[in-house]
Amino acid sequence: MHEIKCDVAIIGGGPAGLAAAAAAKKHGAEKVLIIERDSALGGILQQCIHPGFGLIYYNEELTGPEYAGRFISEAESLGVESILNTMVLELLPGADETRIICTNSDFGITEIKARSVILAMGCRERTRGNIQLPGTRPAGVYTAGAAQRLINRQNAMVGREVVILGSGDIGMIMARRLTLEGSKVVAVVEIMNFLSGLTRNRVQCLDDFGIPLMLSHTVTWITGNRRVEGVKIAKVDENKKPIPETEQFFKCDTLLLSVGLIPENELSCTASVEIGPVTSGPVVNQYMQTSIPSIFACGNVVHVNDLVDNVSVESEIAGKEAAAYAAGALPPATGSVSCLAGSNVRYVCPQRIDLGNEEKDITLYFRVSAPETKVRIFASQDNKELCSKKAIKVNPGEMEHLTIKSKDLQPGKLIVNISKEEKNG
Amino acid sequence: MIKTDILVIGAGAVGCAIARELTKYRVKVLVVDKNEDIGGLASRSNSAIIHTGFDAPPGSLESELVVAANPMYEKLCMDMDIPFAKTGAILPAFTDEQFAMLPSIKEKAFNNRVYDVEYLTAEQLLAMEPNLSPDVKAGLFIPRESIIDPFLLVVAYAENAQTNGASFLLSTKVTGMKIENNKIQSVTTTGEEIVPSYVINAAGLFNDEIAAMVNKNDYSVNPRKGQFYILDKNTNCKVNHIVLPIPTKLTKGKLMCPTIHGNMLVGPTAEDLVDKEDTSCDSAGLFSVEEDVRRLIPNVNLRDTITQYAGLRANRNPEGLHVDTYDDVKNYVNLSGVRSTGLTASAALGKYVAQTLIKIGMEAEFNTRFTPIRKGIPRFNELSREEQNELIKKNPLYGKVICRCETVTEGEITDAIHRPIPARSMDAIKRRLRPGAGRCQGGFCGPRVIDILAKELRLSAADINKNLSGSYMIVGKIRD
Amino acid sequence: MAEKQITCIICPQGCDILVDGDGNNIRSMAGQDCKRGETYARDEFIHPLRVLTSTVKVIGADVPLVAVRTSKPIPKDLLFRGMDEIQKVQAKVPVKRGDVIIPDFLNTGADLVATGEAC
Repeated sequence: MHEIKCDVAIIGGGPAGLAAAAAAKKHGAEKVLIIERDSALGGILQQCIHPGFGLIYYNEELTGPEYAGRFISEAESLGVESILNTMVLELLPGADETRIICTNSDFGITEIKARSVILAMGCRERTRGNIQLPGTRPAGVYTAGAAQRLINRQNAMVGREVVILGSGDIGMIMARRLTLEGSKVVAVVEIMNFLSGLTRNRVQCLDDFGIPLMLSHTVTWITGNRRVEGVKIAKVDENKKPIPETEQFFKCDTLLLSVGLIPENELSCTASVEIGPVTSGPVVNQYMQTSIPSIFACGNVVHVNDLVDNVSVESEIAGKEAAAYAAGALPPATGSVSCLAGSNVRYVCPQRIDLGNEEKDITLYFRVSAPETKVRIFASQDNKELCSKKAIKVNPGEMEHLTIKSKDLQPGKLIVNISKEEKNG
Repeated sequence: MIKTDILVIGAGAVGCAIARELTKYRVKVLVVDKNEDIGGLASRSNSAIIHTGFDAPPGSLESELVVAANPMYEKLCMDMDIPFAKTGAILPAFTDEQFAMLPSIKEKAFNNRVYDVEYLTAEQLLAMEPNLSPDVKAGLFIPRESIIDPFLLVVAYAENAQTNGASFLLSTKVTGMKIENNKIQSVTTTGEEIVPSYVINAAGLFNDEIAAMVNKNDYSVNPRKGQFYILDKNTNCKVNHIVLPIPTKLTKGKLMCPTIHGNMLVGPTAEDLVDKEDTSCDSAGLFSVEEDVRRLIPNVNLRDTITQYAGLRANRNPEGLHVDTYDDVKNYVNLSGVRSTGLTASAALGKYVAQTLIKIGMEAEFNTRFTPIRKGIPRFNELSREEQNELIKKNPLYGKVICRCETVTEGEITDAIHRPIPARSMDAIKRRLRPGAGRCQGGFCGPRVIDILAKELRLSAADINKNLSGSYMIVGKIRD
Repeated sequence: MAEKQITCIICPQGCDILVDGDGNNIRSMAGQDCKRGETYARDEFIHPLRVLTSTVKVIGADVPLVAVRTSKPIPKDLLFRGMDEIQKVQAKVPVKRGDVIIPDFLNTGADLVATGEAC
């Protein structure tokens, strides 16, 4: 069996893996290896040809391939190595090193031994089956990301008259992309009474082209025996149940689904990494370290991010700390803090803060459950508030964050809350 | 014009099993089917169970065939290189009424010559199936109820039949039959005219329409829809056996069982229909499946559904499995009433129909070159690391994983495309190898499989169909 | 031209700003909460600009398409004309990120540049 040894192995060469690899190298890891299943690095960014990346990280507006390109150049110039066209089959953590079994056409079954491993496999799209969409089963039902790959990388048009279910960012971006390529986007249909993606995308992808956004509506039926011939769309009540008498038929040949993303953790499960119930990703501490100390994780495999910029920042932490772990320089914790979701907060990432290592600022990332305006975001321990900030508007589609100082923390629970700001302060 | 000794209409489980059985004789066999691929309709959308016949109508032909067929599968599946698992079935009783029915079910099984049915106590049942409702009082165990991949069974029958000399003509619909001198002289199709010595109607859901072509109108086929739900392999509430409800009048009721590939299967509904093409799934079906299966397995989680499908059972009116021959159409065998036990019955039906043909005059000389052995496509995911490595060295495409959920390689996909009965559509690939049958449902591999099909078949992506012609995946190129 | 509603995308608040005017002339504006919003709404009303991204066919590469963008935002009403130009052009290998595919795209002063690579 072909064998490779390295200090830090990174599974996935998308934005998370690239940023983690560069950071690991910068922080002293000698041999850093990215394992990538595609024929090129960059991950999903290769097909995200639209602009909107890097506004925070680079303070300029880049497209997906450009954003990925910068990280690829940096990683390469730092001496990060990569093995492409390689699929990881199994992850076997051990006392001194983790064995990664993968397959590659040129090398056959390959075993990579690494002192620390970073999971950066990203996420997958929720499917028709996941949302149990009724109707016939014709061709022409695609997840938005699959359609994006076909259009932007495979030169293949998916349809001429398209309904998009879900107002996630990919769905809206595909609405614009399809329109520019001459297809008609009949409507973007969203079951919630608010947009699930970014407002900017609504303005520039839907409003710009007069594409109707149907909030509080859902697709109730797909028709067509061979190819999609149309869908029925109905308004939903406050419990998200379709109201039958509002059902209307819309002719189309394609239905795109943009109904959410799920962290891709089949591999993490083979290594028995603990998975969080809300995020569906590994439970991590502030070093992006999972329940298995030699395994770190970053990016959408941990929790689905709205902006790649956040992924890059989070992944740099994973890279740095995985390098420290590989060098035996990550000291054990003296105590830990559980980060819990309070009112109107879905989850907090990292889920755990380990105390005792160093004094530093820790950024907590979280998503809100429901949209709200004029709120106060605060973190507290035993009813003692540690930090807070105000926000004009919070939205489930956008990641929020709060920074706390590790020296303020005591072992125990930390709760992040969002409350409507009271009048008169 | 095509001449053949035997024409089998329908390439479902029964048609392909008959074709394979007939290749044991020195006769020329041709199978026609209107679909683009073998596999039929009901044969591929069912509960994937090899039944014992314990609850068949005693004394019926159905009972005879199912009971005879069940013991054949272990060897048949080994010979034809397809997976098979004798999980056994349990029949739990939760109410006093159901408890009182147990002796009669056991007696019916006995009358069907299924002698190995045993009583189980509540403790035994809960030890076997910890997720069973704790309200269970007692139950029955039917040890030889088994699970299979129904589509692979059809593929194996067909490929083995073909190895032994049978031919397959797909995308060809039978449109009429000319009868003279009380015999079918020729069969017209949407393609070439066929001149057969014998004709077998194994057209499943459409067998009444074929029968009408030889003026046999004494029954009709009424589709009965069953909706099924496939749950993720990672769902936390699983069962180890086929868990059957105590039967009711309409059907066997809604069950839960593992699939041969490790998913959970729940369903089916039983809805009488008119439209023979209505395989849609609806929310009402989901609710009724959930409600009924919850009585057996309270924690079943239908939120872990990865896909749903509907199959149509070819219900005969009047009821009953029939293999008919006629004095006024002497070279014709008509199969009807092959319903939910048809998949199981197929192995026995092949033999039964062959004997029927011999009875009506077919010359039965043993084909000494017949081989029962069929080798499937090597399944990368089922091999040891050493075997995988060997395979990749021989064919590097086996090193490239296309479907990450089910770990299917490009080597397997190109093999399927170039098999003697080629897989030419997305569904044909999916049914043989399972890319797109996993939890991401083709979100990742779908675009890649389109590319591979187009490349291997030297077609444009716009010519790749999901299944039948007209089910195109792609409408054209972005840039010419 | 009269009234136009513009959703501000400068900050998450997403103010809905109602602008009334003709051509380059704005008569009134309502709903903005800050100066930046006012500037955004003014620009959106008078001369909305967008970065156009798409793909062009590439000849002789192992990939059929290479991703492109305008090097800076171009007038919004030129997007579809831009797509017509993009449909006509073909790139030749090797294409490097940043290569100019069409200079002075539609006389806007922006270039159409490759964002992806092909070899």
